[in-house]
Amino acid sequence: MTTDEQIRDAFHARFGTELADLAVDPALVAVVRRRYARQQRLVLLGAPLGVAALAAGSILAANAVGSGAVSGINGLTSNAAQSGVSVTLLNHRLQFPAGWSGSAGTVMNLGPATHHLGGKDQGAKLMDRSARMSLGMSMFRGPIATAERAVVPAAERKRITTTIAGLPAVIDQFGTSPVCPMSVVHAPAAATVKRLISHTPLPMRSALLKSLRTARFSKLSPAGFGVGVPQPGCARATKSAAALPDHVSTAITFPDGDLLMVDSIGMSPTQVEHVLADAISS
Amino acid sequence: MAVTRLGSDFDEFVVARSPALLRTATLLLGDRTDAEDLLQTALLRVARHWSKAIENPDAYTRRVLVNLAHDHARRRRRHPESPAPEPDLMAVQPATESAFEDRTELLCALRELPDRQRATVVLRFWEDLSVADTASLLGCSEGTVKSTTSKALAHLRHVLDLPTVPTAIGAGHDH
Repeated sequence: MTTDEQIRDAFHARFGTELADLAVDPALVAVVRRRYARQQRLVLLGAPLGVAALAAGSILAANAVGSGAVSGINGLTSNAAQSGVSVTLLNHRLQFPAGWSGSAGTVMNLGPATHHLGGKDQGAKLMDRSARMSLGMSMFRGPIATAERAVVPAAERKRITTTIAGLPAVIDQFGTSPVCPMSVVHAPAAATVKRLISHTPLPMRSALLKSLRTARFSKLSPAGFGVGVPQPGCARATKSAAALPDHVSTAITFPDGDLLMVDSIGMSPTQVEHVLADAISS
Repeated sequence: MAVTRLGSDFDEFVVARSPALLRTATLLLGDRTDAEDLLQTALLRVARHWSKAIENPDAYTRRVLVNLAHDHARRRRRHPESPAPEPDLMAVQPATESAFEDRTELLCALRELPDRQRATVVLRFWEDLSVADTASLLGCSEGTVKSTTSKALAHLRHVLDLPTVPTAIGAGHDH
């Protein structure tokens, strides 16, 4: 037996025994398979995501040190004066506080499409300083936004009719997987809303944020806001992660029809809601 | 290849290989919770490039894992105020107290290694890669892999119960 083989055997004997009982969290596998299934359905719809995303660019600029606003790469800028990162996705500007930085683009390379569906998308990935929390954001516009919104079969949706900002709205809550995102479909007249004067709490775990209720909105501000709440039992049974559901998907439909899909890791639904609401209304 | 076939292949790969990949990720990081995040990120990345990865999904995913582990370590170095978590030793409860102590010793010893040394020994002796393949994956020379391996083993020797002076024992013979 060679020395390498001795070491290899020892390595496998010691670490193999200790790690043999490690099991993959079913939520992890479910999230990955579900995300991939969504991509595949989009491919079948002919979404040209690979090309569109690459063309639109995504990416990233870490928190820069300097004065004033600094132009970033492809829509992501760092503003030292505000000590945060400004992300612009298809003309929608989101301002994140200090401690967040861009790390990678969210680009879905889906392989050959059967035909071009049309539309644009642009994405970015942000991570907080601790590297514990991350946001993968994709903004969709045009037919691809419609396709993204429709990828979940109607049979899997739970439709909730409610009122947002005094206007009728429909929330499509979908998925029986550990991640249970909501898509808020706004009323057509919502595009005229500049300020949310009153609201009816959404039938969700947490009510609409005060910052979202009172913030001034541009014409591109969202008409609806939905945060997915993981199903019971999906939180990880590990010591450090047990307190928080790790994976939350959020869908925001803007009055102009653009769709922002956000997949977050390491954040509770409330945290996601706070961060996104503040980012959009800043 | 048909899209549906690709989807099926990926699903099968995830289900079949995730446990082994999680173990590799755990060793690369020395922490189970971080390893799960690493694995999920890696699998999503592989999904996006499945048409390329399908030629050798294990190798492709391993490369992604190593790259992500390297990024993870770099972020930790860049933000030292964020303390590195203790190994998630309670994630799977050892059967006995001595088993717990063994695990503590094992993972801590691995964690104490510099990132490059840890990646090298995991690839060489857990993933059973050759020196050449390890060098290719890590983007360094074979000589660097050998010297890095030697340094790492010097640290791990006591927890692996390796002989101080390894000897070739009866290669090719049964006794």
